[in-house]
Amino acid sequence: MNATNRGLGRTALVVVGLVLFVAGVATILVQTVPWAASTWHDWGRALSDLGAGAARDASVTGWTWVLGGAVVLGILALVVLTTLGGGRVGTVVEDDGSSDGVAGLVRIDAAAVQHALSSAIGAMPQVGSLAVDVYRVRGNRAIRIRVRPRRGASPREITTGVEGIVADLDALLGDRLPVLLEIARGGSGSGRTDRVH
Amino acid sequence: MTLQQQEAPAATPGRTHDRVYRRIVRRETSASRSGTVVVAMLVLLVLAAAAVFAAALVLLDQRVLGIDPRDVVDRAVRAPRGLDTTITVGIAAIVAFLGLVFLAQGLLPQRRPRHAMSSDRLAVVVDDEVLASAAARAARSVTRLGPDAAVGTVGRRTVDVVLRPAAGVDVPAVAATEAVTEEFAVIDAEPPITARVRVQPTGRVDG
Repeated sequence: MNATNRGLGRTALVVVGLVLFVAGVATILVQTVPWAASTWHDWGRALSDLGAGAARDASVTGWTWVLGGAVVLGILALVVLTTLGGGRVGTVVEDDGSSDGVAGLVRIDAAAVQHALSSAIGAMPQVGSLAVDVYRVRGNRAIRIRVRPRRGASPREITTGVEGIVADLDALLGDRLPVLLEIARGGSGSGRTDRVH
Repeated sequence: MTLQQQEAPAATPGRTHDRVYRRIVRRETSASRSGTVVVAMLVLLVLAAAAVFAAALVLLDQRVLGIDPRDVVDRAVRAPRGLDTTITVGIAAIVAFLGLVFLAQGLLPQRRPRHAMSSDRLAVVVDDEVLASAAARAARSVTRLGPDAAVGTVGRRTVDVVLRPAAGVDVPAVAATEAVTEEFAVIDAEPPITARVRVQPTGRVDG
């Protein structure tokens, strides 16, 4: 539900994995197979600028390229790291009434929805504990309700109950926000059997 | 909140969020790779930092611990001459294995032990453990067994309930199967789950 860009992360994984794998296998081949070693020596002449025998000017140019490439690589890695996680937001609805031509701004904080949903859902007998968060999904707001039911509780009963409560929330907000209900294992009270049927 | 009338949802038709729900359910039922991504990016950062350090040494004409990066490049180009085969192959094998792990993490699909549930209004995902405990409760409800006598296991498309009655107690296995099947017909999980109930013939000796 968070804002992690999974496509970017998996692409980065595939690229880094491929490079490491090829480098490792190539090193093993060069070390053990004579044919691979001679190919490596042919390619190695391209690296002569980086060696000790190169002229000062060629050496500086070559190592400057290495420096620049490494800095770019490091920045790319940091960019990928910054795309992980996040996406939780503090407002559910923000409407300046521009569609109706009415002045003024309506803003509903996430805390209001969290409290309303928590008290309504927490009153259900099947629910052990719960958490409500608001996330940004594709530019829109989406609510995540994570319920930890008591042991043996029927998932369908929980879903039906939450559907009713969310319908009330829709009426309250005047808008149908996307809602994820996550019925998760464990949590407080989950060890006890639900005695209210 | 329950006092509110329910006309508002009907007044805003067409907002069913099918695409958002598909995306959310897909993300919630497949495993996150962010841990592996962090490790891979840290490896990349270390390599980049090493290269920056080496380049800085050469450009400033310095050497650290008596090693000049230019000599290192020369020795690598001369490989396999002058390198110890065991150490080189060992390190290279570790690097290749690490690359293979990253590749597998990036390419293979990985599911979380979860199912989606149908709903008109919500996107619903359920942990398999919750489904298993609901199956055990359903099977037990038509029998006279204690809370620990039924154990449920949920796979991708099956649920297995094992009943372990005390010695001498008769268990209506057919009724239990019907109860579990009915429970999962109501749950309507995606992918669909078929129920199977077994009675363990070796009885327990307890109250």
